[in-house]
Amino acid sequence: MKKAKTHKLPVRAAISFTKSKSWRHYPIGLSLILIIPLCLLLGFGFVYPVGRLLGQSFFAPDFGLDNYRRLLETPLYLRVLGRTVIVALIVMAASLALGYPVALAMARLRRDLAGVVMACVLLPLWTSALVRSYAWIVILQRRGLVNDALLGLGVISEPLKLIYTEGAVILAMTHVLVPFMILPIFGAIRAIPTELVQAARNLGGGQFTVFARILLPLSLPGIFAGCLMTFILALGFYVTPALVGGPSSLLMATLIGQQTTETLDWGFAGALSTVLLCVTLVIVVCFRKALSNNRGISNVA
Amino acid sequence: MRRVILKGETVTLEKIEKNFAETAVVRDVSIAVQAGEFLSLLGPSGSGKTTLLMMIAGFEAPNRGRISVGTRDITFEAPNKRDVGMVFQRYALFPHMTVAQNIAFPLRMRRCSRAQARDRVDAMLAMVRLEGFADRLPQQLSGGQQQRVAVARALVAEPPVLLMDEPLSALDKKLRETMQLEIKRIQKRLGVTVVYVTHDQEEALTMSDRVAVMADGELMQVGAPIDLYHRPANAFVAGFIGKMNFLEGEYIGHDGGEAVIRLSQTATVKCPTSSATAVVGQRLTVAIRPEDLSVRPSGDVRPGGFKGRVEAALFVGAAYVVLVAIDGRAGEVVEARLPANGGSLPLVPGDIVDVFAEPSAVRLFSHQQRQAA
Repeated sequence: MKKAKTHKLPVRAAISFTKSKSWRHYPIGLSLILIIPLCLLLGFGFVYPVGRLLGQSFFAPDFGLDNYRRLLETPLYLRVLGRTVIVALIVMAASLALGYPVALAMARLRRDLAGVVMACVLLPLWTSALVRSYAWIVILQRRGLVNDALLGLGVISEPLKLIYTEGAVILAMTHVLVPFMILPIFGAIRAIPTELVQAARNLGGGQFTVFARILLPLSLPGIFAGCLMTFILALGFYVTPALVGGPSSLLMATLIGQQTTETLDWGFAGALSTVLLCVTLVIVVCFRKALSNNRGISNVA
Repeated sequence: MRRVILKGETVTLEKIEKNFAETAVVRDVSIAVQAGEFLSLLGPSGSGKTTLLMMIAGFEAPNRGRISVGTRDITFEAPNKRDVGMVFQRYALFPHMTVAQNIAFPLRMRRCSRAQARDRVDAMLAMVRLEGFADRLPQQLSGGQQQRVAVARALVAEPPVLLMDEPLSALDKKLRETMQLEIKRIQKRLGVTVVYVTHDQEEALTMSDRVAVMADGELMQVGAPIDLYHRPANAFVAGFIGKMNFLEGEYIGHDGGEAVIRLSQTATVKCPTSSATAVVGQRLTVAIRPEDLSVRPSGDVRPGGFKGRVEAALFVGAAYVVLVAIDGRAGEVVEARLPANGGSLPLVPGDIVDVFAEPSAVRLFSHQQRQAA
């Protein structure tokens, strides 16, 4: 722990240096004027409505903790919460497993080839999540591509239930979120000087050792950023689970959506949101604690 | 504590050629480095010296030719199997490992026991005078300290050969000179063969047993510093190593066993015939070192000397540098370096002087050679 702290010093110094530099570039008054529109937008468009919703969990319909009691006393809701966290963790792990090799390959390719791969990674990101989710429906539905192919080959005699399952939700969410894992890891690996790899090779390290002892530890900040991003996005993901998931794979975001649009129980929706927000914060803090013991992490933490 | 003992091995480069996408960056280079020798690859940027080093380290493969260390052919050996240490330009220390972990890295790759590794790391730290820094991280060290860690890390596994890629270029002048001595001391003590890339000729001359001068991917000359300085093989080496006055002239014949070169209507220089195989009327390039020119207030011109006018006389500490415009050659100036000897120089700009060069110190190069350089 002590070591990690001393290590952070130069990073802090670098941050304060960039800060003082930007302050020198613009007078404080001008800086304030420039950020006022953003603050207003955030205030009225985000902080106020979220605050309202969270507040309603204590006031609607009556003042008290009734909404929270209902949440904690109904096993269904706790199951949904648990499932949401587990699905988000699985999506995060799957994105890491799929994304790291892509990021590594991209970072080591020639620049022009890396650009092509980068475009392949970014193109889906620019496509609406709605479109991508419907694409999964086409692929996974009862008479979709997968079932037709398997039936045609005679592997199965009955169509499998692929869509509206937890598996489908995880698959589609991973597909949507994997670029958020690839980009920060790619950035981290790109930032590792080639001399370090050459030095490790020169000192007797084989390809695998170089990866395990040099590339992997030095790309941890990217892994950390990517995991955090995919995990948080997965926790609150709405569109995809709502489209490809079924009643048995209900997640928190969908549940909150139901409360606000179908049952119009804003107080309970607020309670659900508060709990989801708290769970997210707790997990993020744990995440940072667990990883901050690692030296490489202090670059982003 | 364990004493570190190394034995250098020969490094042999045979007819090495390397192309990057149609462009030849190394052309037919052969160098035989002796065991325990300190050899510098010296040349301007783009001369192919770093590419050559990268091929010895195994990060580039030659298109043609053979590289061997001792009797081992390593031309296509994987970099981690070569047992050739390397110090990189920007140190390349692993930022997430302490100094001790950095130095122990090659030992761990060789499955050395922890206790043994600790002893050897301690011995290396003592050798580079960094005891007590074992648990620091690289970024907590100064540039010079990082460089010494890099040297220790490259040598701890006792490779017979050490490659250094402009290791001192990131340091300031004072520190660079200290580190030059330090590296020499370590190299002498361990007896390791060093191949050292630099573009700094002074560094190459002070540190090396031999220097290989490269230009445009070709090997110009390999030799001891003193040979390169006094017996350059061509005009490029003459100009690249130390200061040199180049003057164009015409060969006009012999005078008592010495060739006579006419620089202008009134100015001639003489040089030993051995260095000139020319026909009368041929254009040649005359090369004279500033310290080989003597400048005296005008009197009778000795044969082989010429008249000139002082343009500037500068005191540079150990010597006076005098710039002299040659009589009859518009705008052309030679530089002479005269020992200061404590006294003030009796020359001021505008003085008419006699310039004389000892024939044995004058070298001739053909016209084309000069153009190529």
